[in-house]
Amino acid sequence: MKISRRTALKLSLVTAFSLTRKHSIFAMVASAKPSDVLAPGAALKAGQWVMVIDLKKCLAAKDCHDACVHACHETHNVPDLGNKKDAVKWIWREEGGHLFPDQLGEYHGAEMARQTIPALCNHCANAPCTRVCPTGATFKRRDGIVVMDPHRCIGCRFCMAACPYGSRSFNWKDPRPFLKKTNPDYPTRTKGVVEKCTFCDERLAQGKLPACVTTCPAGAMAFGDLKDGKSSVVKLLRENYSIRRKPELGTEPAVYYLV
Amino acid sequence: MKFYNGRYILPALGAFLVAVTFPVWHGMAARDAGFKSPPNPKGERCIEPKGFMRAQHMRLLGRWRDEVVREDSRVYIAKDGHAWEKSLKTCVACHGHTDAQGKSTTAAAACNECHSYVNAKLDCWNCHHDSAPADVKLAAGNPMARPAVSGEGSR
Repeated sequence: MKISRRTALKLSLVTAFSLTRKHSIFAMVASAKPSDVLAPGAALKAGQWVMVIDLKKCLAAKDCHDACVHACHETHNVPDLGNKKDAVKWIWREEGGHLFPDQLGEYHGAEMARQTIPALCNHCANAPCTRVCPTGATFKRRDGIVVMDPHRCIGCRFCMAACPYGSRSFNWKDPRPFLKKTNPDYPTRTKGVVEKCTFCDERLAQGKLPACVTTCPAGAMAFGDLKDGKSSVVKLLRENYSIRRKPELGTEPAVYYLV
Repeated sequence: MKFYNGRYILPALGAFLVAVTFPVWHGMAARDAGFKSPPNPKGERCIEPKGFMRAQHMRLLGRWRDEVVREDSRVYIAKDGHAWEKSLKTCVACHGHTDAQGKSTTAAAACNECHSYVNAKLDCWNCHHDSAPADVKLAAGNPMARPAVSGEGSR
């Protein structure tokens, strides 16, 4: 039998391809079957994750004792260093007037401007932190979450300078001695890296909502997919007036506040 | 032909050869001194066969790290079809364990048996926990706090 040049080329291509598939063990990952390791069928996926915080509900809950802050910080081993300069925070409460300097004024929202409101990483659509990071340690996932890869962080703190919301913290010290309780299911950080809220990407992978959302006793925090027209967050945003922090900067935050 | 000054040259040449080959024979003499095999893990199977893990575990872990953090792909299917969570917790579950005598081994200690022998410094455990969660006692103080090391570098 005579094999034409064209057939020979085709055969060699197919052979080469099948060889790479068979012998590269990593190639098998791509064809991984769903398994029960993490219950990946239950992993939460979205086109664009957003959070909606209903401030009326939030501020009405006077006795929540910052449940969202404690839940987040205990889940993610965020240390309490005891002073403001070294503070590491993923979610925290701050006066409304500081969070929304141009939106809550002397008359409109005057009361909110004096109360403390939860603040966290806004997971901006145009995240300035990801643009300045020299190592690509912080980057935007396709579902809108701005994540930190501490393995690549060199501690230059450009991202902290770039973030207009103060959402990032630097580990000036080894955080472990400052943890009152350690969650063995989540790593700590080490001296010299930047950290911040990750919208609980590890919980989403297990099919759970972020820790702050599930803990809030007032049910003031909603989390969902902005691209899904039927999601609870889209409904909330359609039916209520919402503001975002520093909209004039064009960063397009993914955290909305209902006022 | 006459060989001049042989009584100086030959001993000097001998000393030179000894000095130059020092790393070779010293290395051979010290080959197995100071090496202790890491304790046996408690699980029944490793992620991939032993030989592969010995040679490639660092590549596997590096790959897992990038895939989990950067691609949100968290399940690894081994060659034998077994599914594993891509996490150091998977390693620690067997390699950092408490044996029948109640003596606990952290994964960091198990890893260090080899790594300190070859003078490779691991920084995994600066952030990741080196004991299986079931072995961790949270009650008294913080067991995961590292002891302060004097003269610790910038890391």
